[in-house]
Amino acid sequence: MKRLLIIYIIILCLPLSGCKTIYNNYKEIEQLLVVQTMGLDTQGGAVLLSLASAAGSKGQAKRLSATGESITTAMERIYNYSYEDQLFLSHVGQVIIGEQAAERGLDDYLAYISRTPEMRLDMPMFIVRDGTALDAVMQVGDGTRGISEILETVEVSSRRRGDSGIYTAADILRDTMRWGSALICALECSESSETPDSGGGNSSPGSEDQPHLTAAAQGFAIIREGKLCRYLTREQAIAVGFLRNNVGISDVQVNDRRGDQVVLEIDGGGSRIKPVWAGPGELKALDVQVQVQASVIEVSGGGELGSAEYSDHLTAQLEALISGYVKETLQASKDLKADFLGLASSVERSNGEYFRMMEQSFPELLPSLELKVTVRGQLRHTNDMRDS
Amino acid sequence: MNTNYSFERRQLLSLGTIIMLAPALRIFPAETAAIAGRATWLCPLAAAPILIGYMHFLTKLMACREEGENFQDLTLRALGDKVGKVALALMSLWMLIYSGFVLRSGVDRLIVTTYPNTSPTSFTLVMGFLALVAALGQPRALVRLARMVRPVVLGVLLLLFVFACFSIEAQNLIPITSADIIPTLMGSAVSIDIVSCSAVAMCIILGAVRKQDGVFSHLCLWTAEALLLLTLLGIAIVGSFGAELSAVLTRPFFVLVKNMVFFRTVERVEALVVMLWLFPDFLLTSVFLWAGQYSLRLLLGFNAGYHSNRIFDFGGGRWIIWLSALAVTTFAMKLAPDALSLELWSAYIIPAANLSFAFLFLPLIYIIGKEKKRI
Repeated sequence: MKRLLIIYIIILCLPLSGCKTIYNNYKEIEQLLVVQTMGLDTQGGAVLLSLASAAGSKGQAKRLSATGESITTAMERIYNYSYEDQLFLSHVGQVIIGEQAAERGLDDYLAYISRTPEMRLDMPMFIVRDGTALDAVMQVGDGTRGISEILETVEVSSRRRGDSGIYTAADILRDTMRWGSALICALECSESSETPDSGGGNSSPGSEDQPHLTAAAQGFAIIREGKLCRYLTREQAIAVGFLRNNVGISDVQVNDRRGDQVVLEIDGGGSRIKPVWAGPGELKALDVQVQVQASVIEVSGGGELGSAEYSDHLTAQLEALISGYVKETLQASKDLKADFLGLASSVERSNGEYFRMMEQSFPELLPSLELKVTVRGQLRHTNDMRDS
Repeated sequence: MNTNYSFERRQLLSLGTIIMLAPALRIFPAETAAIAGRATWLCPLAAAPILIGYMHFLTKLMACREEGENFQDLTLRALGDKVGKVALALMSLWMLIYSGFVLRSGVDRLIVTTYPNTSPTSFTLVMGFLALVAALGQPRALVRLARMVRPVVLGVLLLLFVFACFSIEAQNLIPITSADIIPTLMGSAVSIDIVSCSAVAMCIILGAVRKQDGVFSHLCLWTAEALLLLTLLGIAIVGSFGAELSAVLTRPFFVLVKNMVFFRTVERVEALVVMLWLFPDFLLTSVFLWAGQYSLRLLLGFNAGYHSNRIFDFGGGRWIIWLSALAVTTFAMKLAPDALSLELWSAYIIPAANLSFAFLFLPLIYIIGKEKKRI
């Protein structure tokens, strides 16, 4: 009886493994189109969905697109009118949103990402500056690298660099809930600096004599109330790194005393934001203290790196430059009444009691706040060359 | 009366740890984050004094039992025949409903996280049948299973905590100010519910453990372990997603697992982890099914401790086990046809029932029993 029972239990356990998918719907991996990049645009009120797989070792990336009343219907249309056995969405690694679609609002897209069981919440999102996601998905890349590979490179370099950054769907949802606004990495599609390979091989999507398009991170897009409202330039993006205490590596140019160009590599720093209260709950100003560390990596005309005056001059130039970036970025936050920098959290951390006594919401208060920005710079070293 | 001492207290505490994980992952992160915000991770600590007090009470209550007595036997003795039977009827009802709810919510998790668009019926029937098989046997089998799976489940949990460290942001967890005190205390109710209910679950099969000293210290250590697990869970989830997002996610822990990439190569392992959580669900469903049928058999005057190795032996009222399993499975299939009603059960009805049972019903039994000098 016990044996019979064990056999019976084993048979009963089979449905727990999802018998429908195992026995009726079994697929080899070659039969799946593993989608890695999803593009979302709007077209006359409908959703224009574009998908791209990774470029394989032999073949090109597969790119598909269709419109539909919703993402789901567009997906169904892509599936119905393609040669693919199955669209596999569990490994979607990036979502690109066209500028126009972002201006109309991201809420529907974020709702889809957070509700669909296949996709993950930690997917990086991008907005195509002055373009559509369709163009990015369909035209970026050459025969060996498609949009998916290029975006992976963008993602890796943006996480390291200080003039851009990666925000995932989870980050955007959280920041919107917490501060009412969020940042998304802005993407620019432009001609590749690589010469197209005319010696044969796969060449796609354009013909061989046409330059290929590539994509690069270009600052941030500001999302307020779920909609794209403005972009931040590369320089302002550097300031975002300081203000959110997430400084990466970025290069800036200053002039030395003779007017020669010096390239500095910013490699560290951060900021401290102190609220100035007129009384309990009465926030008057923000005192923003920024620290920046950099090293000299390129000097025109030899320079005088051994001289303290020369170094002080460069440091002052660096401080003025970063101060300008920070002021511009804070001004954008004030103008838009959008706390995409998370300034409210800094104020709350500093004095939670007063913060809770504030009558106005922080974004509403932003335009009336006085801003005091102080930047303290430090040239740390000049790499392999002796300074004297 | 069950007079077969078939497992040790430490083994029983292992069962307590495993069954605690089912409600812990179901309600702790989201419900606590909704109440306490970024102070979620402090709520288990805030729950500690009340829980230690409660463990002291449970120790005193269970010290009143005689050798081999389960909590149900003690209830009958403390309240007398008439009131005791009413109490047993209420207790059986609660136990079977809770068992059905755990079965339903476990199946729902399986469907939402791993098998979307699948009917819950087959999963419910299979799990219900497995719980029946477990209830036909002795609690010893459940306790031993818990002892076996405990290192695996806790090992996986620890590994996930380690990998979650890479996504934790300090600003999601601090600062904690004086304004967080009230929300933290309110949020601690969720931890109190989870830990006290698991402790009660251990008491209802305590008859198979020999009466020994040191119950309170063991329970305190177990409580500390449970609260530590909840704290780590709070840090991992709220630290990664922020309190705002954690509060609106239905299963934040499994979303966290879904997001994890191990060494830039292994990802999408959530199905494996979800499957592992079938053990806590199975054990919790089975323990409460066993306890429910035990109460019913006691209530109807059968020898509830009667055990047989023959499945179709209906002696000692063992047919009640089949009937109870049927009731649990039917309840699980009929309960909460949609996500909203399941949320209502999960976030309000079940915690309220659990807390009432643990903090009103049990003390009442103790007080009446002592007053009447029956225990």
